[in-house]
Amino acid sequence: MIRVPNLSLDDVDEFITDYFPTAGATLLIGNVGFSPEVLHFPERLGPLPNVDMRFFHEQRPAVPAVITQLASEREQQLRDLAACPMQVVDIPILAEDGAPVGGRNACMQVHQWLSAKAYTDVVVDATGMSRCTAFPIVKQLYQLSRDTPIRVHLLVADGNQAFSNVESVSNDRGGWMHGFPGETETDEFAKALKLWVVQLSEKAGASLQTMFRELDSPEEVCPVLPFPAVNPRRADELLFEHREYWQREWFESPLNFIRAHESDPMDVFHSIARLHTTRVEALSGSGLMSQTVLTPVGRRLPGIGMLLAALSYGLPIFYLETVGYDVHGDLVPGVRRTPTHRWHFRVDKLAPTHD
Amino acid sequence: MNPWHKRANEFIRDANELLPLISPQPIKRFFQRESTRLFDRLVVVVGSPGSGKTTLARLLELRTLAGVPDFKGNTDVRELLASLAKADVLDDLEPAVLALRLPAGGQLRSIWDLPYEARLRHRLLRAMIEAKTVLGWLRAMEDVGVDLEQVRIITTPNAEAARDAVNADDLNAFRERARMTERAIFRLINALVTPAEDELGEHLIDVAYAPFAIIESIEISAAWRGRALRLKPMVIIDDAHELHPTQLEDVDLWLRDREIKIARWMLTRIDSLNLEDFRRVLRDEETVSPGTNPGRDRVRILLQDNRNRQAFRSIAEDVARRYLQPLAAFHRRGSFLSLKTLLNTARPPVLSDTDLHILQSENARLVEENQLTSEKVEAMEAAYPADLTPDVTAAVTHIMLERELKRTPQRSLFGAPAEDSSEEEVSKVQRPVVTGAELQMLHRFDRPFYFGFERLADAANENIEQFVTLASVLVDRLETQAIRGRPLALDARQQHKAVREQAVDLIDQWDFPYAPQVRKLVDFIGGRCEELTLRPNAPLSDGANAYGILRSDLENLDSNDELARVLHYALAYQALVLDEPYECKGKTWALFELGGVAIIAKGLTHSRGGFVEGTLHQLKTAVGSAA
Repeated sequence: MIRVPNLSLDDVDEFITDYFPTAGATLLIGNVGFSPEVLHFPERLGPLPNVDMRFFHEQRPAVPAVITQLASEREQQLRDLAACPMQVVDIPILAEDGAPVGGRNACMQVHQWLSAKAYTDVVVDATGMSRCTAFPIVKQLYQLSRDTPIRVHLLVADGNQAFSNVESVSNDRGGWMHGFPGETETDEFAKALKLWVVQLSEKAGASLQTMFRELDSPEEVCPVLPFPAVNPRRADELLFEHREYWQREWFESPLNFIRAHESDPMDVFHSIARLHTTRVEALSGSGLMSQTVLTPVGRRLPGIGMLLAALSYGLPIFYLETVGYDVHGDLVPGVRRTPTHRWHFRVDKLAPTHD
Repeated sequence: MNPWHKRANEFIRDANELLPLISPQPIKRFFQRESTRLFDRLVVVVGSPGSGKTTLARLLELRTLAGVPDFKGNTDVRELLASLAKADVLDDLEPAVLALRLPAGGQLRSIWDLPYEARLRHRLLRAMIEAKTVLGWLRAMEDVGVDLEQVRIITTPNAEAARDAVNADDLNAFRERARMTERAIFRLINALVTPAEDELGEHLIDVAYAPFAIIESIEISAAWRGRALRLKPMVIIDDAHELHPTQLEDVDLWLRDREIKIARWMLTRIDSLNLEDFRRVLRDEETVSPGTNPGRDRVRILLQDNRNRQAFRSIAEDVARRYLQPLAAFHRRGSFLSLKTLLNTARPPVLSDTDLHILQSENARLVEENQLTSEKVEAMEAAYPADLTPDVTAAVTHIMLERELKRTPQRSLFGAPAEDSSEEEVSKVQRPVVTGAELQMLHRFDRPFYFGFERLADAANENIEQFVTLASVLVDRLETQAIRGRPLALDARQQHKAVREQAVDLIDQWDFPYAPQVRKLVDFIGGRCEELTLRPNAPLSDGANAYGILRSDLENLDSNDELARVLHYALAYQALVLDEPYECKGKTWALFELGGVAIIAKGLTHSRGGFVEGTLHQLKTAVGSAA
């Protein structure tokens, strides 16, 4: 098992207050998102003189004006927080033909920032960042930390009162996330038995179907269900909503379900780690190759658990890009309060344990 | 296995399960159309999702063809095998083609994102396609039990040097060479930060790989099937629309080279073509670019024929029969079951007495307003088709009376009743008016309309997957009846309700780029069509299901405009179907017809041709992209 040093809730804020004022040159990489939580960590780090804030501005083709406007307001708020000059860089998420290019663009940008100045600490604030940009840059920094003494922090905040009337619109073609390719695409691993660990999410039926098809019908599917959850019925409701898929197309039984805490990435991480290591062990005896494929869909925090598992065990991630948003009704920002969930992970300290 | 739930044939892995499910008619039609040109030049097959592209590719794969001899005496598969034999895909029931289906998305598309010169990126793409194809061929042969020791690669004469370069004499080395290329490019694509072009060095040696230029055929010795087989190698690039347009152009140019001896197909959705190109394919036209002759070097085939509804009904009937066969619950009933018979036994619905009374009293009022005698009304009704139920007769009469009212000039309060002849009108009462009357009753009284096999088949847009998806809800209900030991029948209301709910759900589940805008567009067009359909005098008889804009107006649409992108996805997913050029009222129109699913959800006619006139600007306003 691999150990992931992590902190949660008030410990995170305490750590930030204690650690960063005395740290060396620090780079904070975030994204100008539209949810109010994106301000939480910059509010604590931005005023420090040793912190350079750099933000992505993810560009998608089909975004309603109301969201763009909200993001502009956030950008101004972030600028007001920065002690050092802040940079915001546009990152096109899709190429003109609809292919996902966000991860590659983000990595190139981070490479430029790191080449421009030497940093002792890099903080990735994944709060408002899409998976397609956050995951590749975390992996890029993780790889960098293997060769250099750089410290890599991953921060994420999430609230229970997210905009419920904003739905994301998915791309119609799946793909391997940049930096997390599936080796089953190559001849040597073409015969590996695929285990697909996929997060179930509301209204994601069409996406699940597309991915299952593009993964060429994986041999085994383990849906990740949110339990415990704020709404204790959520796991059952998801099973009911997607019954058509897991019963009739994936031919899975309840024995295959993974239940993991809705807002605890570590629970998801441990569940996947256990499943993956046991499976590899079981299959290697018979000389079979095994490939665990991860797919984060929907809420952010379980996805972070998947990212940690993918980093720790070198697992591939298959996903559908978000191409835009659909807003039903008005976007009324609620009262800003401390995000319900706050997490900190030391990505450069991922290390094997012997338990 | 329940094929109704599998929907797409690509989920069915086993050839023994797949072959009996494939309806021979579309395959026969496909192979007949271009029979002599399918394997010696580039073939581009264009079709929307579910139109059968991947089924076609699956059919040609070695694992499917290798299973053919098991079906020698199977009458269900005989016609299919005859088509394959005629197209030289089979040779005396043994495979004559070694095809690899290569999905184009993901890895191949990513090559375009590398920060290198376009020429190098094209080189990498070609090498990757060639390496993956060679590796796929070898895997396909191993999968059906061929020992690679028994395989010989036949190359073109005088190509010794090139033969050595790909190690064609030793199959293990041949595979290792291809793997080396694949690995090198895989590493390049997946490097988080790509090395600069001048750092590539030895990578470029690994990727210099071009076996397509020399491979002619692949020979398997008699040890496998008792006689030596010579297979035509083939690559089928599936979902070619996922390549970058520039990549697609280059691959197209490359594969058009007549020096290449392997068979090569590209399967693509209309996404790869811009609206203009797509419209050209619909019109069966081809453009000629300098130095090439696409008509000679490349064949383009549109997989779906939206203009032949009758032919599709019989395909749907055949598909339904094949898909019902594996279902045990139906088997137990013993007799031969046809979905068409099961659905068509439903008796037409009738309005409740209260609703019928409402209609009749309205008619009485209209008769009075028109100052018609009851004899005249009776004479009018006598000219209706004979099989109408009283409620339909009343609804048709309602329409006829409204028309009469509109035709007759305003009468003076004291004037004599105008002499008008409804003789001409009487003879015109035909099926579309009856359908129009039924649709009006659907909207006013919720009288079921979408029942019976024909309307179900017509809703599929000549797309087998769409037909199966719509029909599956009815099959599920019939299966439940069978399991419960009840009569295998669904009345009109049950059928209508199930199909409509399914249509609404399917639209709700659309999840592709611009889906929200496509929904808005469908709502807008549906709303306008509904308004026209429900006009009391039914001016278009059975109403409209399309939105027509002048072709000259459509020509002004900039391909970068948001509406162009919305239309692109709407057409790709058959939310809309384009019908053009359409001549009407002395003008040339482009009709955006609602797809079958949207038609059901909006309660409109499946008949083609009725349209609402509009403009491009109105469509832009509807999707919220008007400037």
